[in-house]
Amino acid sequence: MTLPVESEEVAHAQLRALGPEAEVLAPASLRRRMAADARRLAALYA
Amino acid sequence: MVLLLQGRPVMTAAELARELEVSERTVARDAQALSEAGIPVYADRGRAGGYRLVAGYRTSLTGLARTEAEALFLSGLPGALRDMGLADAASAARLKASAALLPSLRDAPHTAAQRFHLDAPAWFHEPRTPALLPAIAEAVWEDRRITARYRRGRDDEVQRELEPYGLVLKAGVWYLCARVAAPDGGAFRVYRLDRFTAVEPAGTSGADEGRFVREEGFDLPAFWAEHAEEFARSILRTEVVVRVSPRAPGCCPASWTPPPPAVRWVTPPGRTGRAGSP
Repeated sequence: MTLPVESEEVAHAQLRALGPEAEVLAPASLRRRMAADARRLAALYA
Repeated sequence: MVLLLQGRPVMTAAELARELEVSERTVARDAQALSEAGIPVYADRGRAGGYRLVAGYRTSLTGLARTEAEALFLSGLPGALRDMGLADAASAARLKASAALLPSLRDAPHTAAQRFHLDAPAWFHEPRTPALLPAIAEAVWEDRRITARYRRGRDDEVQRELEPYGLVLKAGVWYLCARVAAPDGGAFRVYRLDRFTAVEPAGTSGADEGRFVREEGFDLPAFWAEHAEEFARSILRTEVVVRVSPRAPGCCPASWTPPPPAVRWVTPPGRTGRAGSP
């Protein structure tokens, strides 16, 4: 679904709170940031 | 008529007619009717004449129903009134209204206060009362222009002459709806009170003693509703596309539910899920 948001920065914080329950499809830059977060999180709990 | 006469020792037929927006003939007829109904209204003839009540006569507010009487005492928000410096006036008004009620309704204020209490701010958001609120509230009540300094951005501070129209309290934050003072009427703007750093009366040496005339058509609730909608729309400047698991909707950020006007929740083509409905 498409969500109206204030900015990519704000959306990043809001979506991060959803953890693995939300997958960002676009924009690609935000998807990369989420992926980087996920890798760091996985490393923490490895 | 009785309420008017309670407020003043004597009123002429012309004064009563003007206040009640009826003819003097109607005033005379009503005074007669009141007198016949046992209310001590007297008509004094002559040059200093007029209508008066027997000294000390007070009516009960017999027209108020219980729910109306109770609602009357809900009308103030104790915290907000205190912040604006109106707590004393409010309690005096409650006392007076309470004293004028029918004996059977005297417990209405207590009944209401014990059955409904408003605690508006959110949890863990301790609202801070802006120090300048009482000064600004006074200017709003008295239609007085102010010279205000306020912070804009991080280091920027500007000074404006404002005509303060109304105060709004939203989620513990005070806002001032004001018109920028200009010869032919400036724009209406909204300011956060906690951004103000100094407020002073403006133009008090002028012929109007610093008072301004409110634009008659200004409607505070309508203005605020329009401003809030505009703000909600303007702040959402971009979009993201997400796929959400069925477990997620309950934990979406509050700003996403309900969606702002003119924006609908959309499920991308080819994807299904419960997340489409907020």
